[in-house]
Amino acid sequence: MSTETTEVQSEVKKPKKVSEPLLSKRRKQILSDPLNEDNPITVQVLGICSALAVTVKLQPTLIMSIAVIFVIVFSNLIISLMRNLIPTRVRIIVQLAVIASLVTIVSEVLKAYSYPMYKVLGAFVGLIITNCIVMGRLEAFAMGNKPYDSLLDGFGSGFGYAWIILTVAFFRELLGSGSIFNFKVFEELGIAYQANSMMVDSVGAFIILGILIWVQRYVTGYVEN
Amino acid sequence: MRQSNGYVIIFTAILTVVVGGAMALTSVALKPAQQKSIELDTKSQILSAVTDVSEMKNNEILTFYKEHISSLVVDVNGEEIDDAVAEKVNVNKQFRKLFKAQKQRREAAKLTQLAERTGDEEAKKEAETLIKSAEAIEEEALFPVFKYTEGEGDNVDAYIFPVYGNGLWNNIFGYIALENNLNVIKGVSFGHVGETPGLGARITNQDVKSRYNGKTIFSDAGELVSVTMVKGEGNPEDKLGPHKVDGMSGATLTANGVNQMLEAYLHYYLDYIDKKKSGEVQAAL
Repeated sequence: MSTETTEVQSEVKKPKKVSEPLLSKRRKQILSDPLNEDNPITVQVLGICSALAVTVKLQPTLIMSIAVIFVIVFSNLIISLMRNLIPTRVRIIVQLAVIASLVTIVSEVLKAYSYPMYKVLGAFVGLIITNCIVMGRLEAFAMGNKPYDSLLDGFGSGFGYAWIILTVAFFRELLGSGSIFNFKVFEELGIAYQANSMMVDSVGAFIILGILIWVQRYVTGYVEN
Repeated sequence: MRQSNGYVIIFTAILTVVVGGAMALTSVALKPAQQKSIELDTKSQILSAVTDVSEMKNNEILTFYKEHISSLVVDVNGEEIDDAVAEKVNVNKQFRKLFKAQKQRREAAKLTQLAERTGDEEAKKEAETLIKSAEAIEEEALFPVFKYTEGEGDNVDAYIFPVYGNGLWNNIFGYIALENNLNVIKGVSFGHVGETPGLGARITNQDVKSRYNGKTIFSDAGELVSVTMVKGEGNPEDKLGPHKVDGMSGATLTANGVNQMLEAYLHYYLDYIDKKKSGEVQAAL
């Protein structure tokens, strides 16, 4: 008897519940906010360490971006899927375990299929575990939102991180090594260019990142409270 | 929501098993591919000391290596060790042991100097024990030798020795290839773990490596002098002579590491080199 009534109830409920479109306005915002107005690096000023460390050249930076996007998207998804099961008292440990596992997978895959890149990035890929952006998204978003939304948030934050470090890497490689993706631009153009070794140092990244934050805040009018 | 202790413990236990299982699975599944890429990396490094491999595809490198490289392992006295495979020798591990010996030798040199100055008998004895323990470490070490044959036949065109040392921030390593007279450098290849990009990391650049080509490691009197990288960049070639190469500006400490590395390892291979040389003289007679 009781099962019949619930079935009837659910049948009645179904047509009433209008499912949100796959890319509603709210969801588009989840995706686009971290790219600009709520950017993890330039606005939240998170994940600076890796933005300074890996951005000497574009190629390793690109690999690093892909690695971070992979880790952030999947950890967001996994944590969101089990958000109601995770005991509150040990949630940080659970989050860390998930992140660390994903990072280890990335690192092992890199070692197997792109060994030269692994030699360049090895240490930094391991440090994605401590990247505050990943941890921050899990704690602030995935723990309280549905899987699909968390997935979108992961993509948004991942790309928000990626485009900033790629921009920094573009200027650092261009000015510090005179090349783009190891393609010697100035040599090809026939311009004599003395590489600026300050750009190769972390100092160069600080300066470019500073300018980037300045420009972005000027455009968006963001002011820190 | 506050869960019971039992729930927390069970949850973390399951999480540990799942995560641990996933990690073990990844490791096992990727191991063959990883070993292959490490092997490929080592082989292309060995080859890049004698030829340009940057244009070669992975398979080409492996077949080229098979056709042109033969290897053996020697000890510090230049005697061949039969039951060791050169490709399987972990140069990093060997270096870590040898580094201890290098430190002991330096310490011993200091003590001997002190003993000579003050006549301190105890310092002299201590120096002797240090040298003995350094010698014992060196006796046990394995030194791979790679022979490069350019064309057909058994004629060895170059001897390639692995070298290992400390740079400014972390380990540096590489291969030094000597022509078959075992004096003139045919080429070098260097790698590093964490030297400064654009400064010390330039030891991996072709233009820096090629500075070593054609330099000699023995003086005219036949003494091993090694090759050193000088401080500063842009020194004229005629001023440098046959035992010095132009430096890298802003990376003198990395260059010092390279110098120490080459000197130490050429001395380790000295007995083998001497034996080869005298053997060739006998063969010629």
